[in-house]
Amino acid sequence: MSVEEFHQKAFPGQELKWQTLWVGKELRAEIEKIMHRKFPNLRIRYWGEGAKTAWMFEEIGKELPITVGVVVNAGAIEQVQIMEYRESRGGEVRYPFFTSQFSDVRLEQKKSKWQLDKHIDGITGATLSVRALKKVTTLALYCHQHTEFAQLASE
Amino acid sequence: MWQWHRRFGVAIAVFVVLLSITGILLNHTDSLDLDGINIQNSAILSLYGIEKPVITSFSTSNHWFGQLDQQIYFNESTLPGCNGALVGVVTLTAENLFALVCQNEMLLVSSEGELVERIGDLYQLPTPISGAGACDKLPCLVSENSHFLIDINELSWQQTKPDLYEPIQQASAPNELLTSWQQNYIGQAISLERFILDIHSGRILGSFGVLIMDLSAILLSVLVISGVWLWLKSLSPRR
Repeated sequence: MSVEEFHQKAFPGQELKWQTLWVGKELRAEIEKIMHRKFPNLRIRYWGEGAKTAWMFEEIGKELPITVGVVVNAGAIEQVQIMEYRESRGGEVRYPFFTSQFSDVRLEQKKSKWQLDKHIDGITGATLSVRALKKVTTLALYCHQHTEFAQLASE
Repeated sequence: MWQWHRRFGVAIAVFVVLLSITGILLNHTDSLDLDGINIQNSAILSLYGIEKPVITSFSTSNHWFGQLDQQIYFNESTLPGCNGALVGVVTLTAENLFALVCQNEMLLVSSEGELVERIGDLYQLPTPISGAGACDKLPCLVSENSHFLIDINELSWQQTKPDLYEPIQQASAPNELLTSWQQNYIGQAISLERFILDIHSGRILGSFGVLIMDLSAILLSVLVISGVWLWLKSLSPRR
């Protein structure tokens, strides 16, 4: 799936400009806790309109990056799209039977740790890809909270 | 017997001298700070399979940018690696950023040397990129003989005419900086202590060197025994 296709799925018929989320020190610390790795970038691109934001991230499953698009609406996941899956095994995570589990999932904080508020069933043989997707969706929900579009929803 | 004693002596003379000198140096490792001196000689490093990397460097707005293997340098500091060879660096004046253009990726870096963003395939960056510079004074890149203007805010790559393309040329960074990059890249891989120790043990020439040093040690022991025996033998008739 191309960036343009993802944009059209997230915001059908709308032409939106890129938005930027600047990653400050505190935000970076939380992002690194969610991702369990260093996050050197100073900013993250996304699209936003109303209470909805759309994010694209790349995260390594086992050896190669998986490109994932996540649409967040009013603090809950609206859709998860696997834009590109490069690993040789574990490709089942691409299919709706798996990605639909993320619908309406929200962010919760337990013992100062950000996580999804719903259990996501794993797939045998795709443990690392599933883990990567859970991290990316948590990150999208967390980043959404720090955008002006999240504040619009709560008003 | 004397003949063999002399032959063994001549055969191992060089190795005994090497063993003695390196042994003395190793006994004084701390006072000579041998562990703190890193080998920079490319011939010695090649014995360990370490090659000095080719350096690509560019200069813009009084800053130096370099690439050694996949490692990127901004003045004296390091940046995360780039996907492909560094082909140019352009200043994005409006954003106060530098775009480090590699073959398959672009790194946006602040004037303080912080990585702002990575722009790759995800954002439909035209790749492979073969050059970067200015097209009619606007930042642009070249991919597969086509020229594209860089609009970093919109992440759009608008094709443009090649007529007014001025490529950014590589520039040789100051020697001091080159040395600093090389030292950082090679790191503290081989210390002088390690090198001397490997000469002492013969490991510098691999398992063959170790065998030679073993043989030298055995022959040295034989020399001691044969020397004492010959001396005792020379004393006997006088008695």
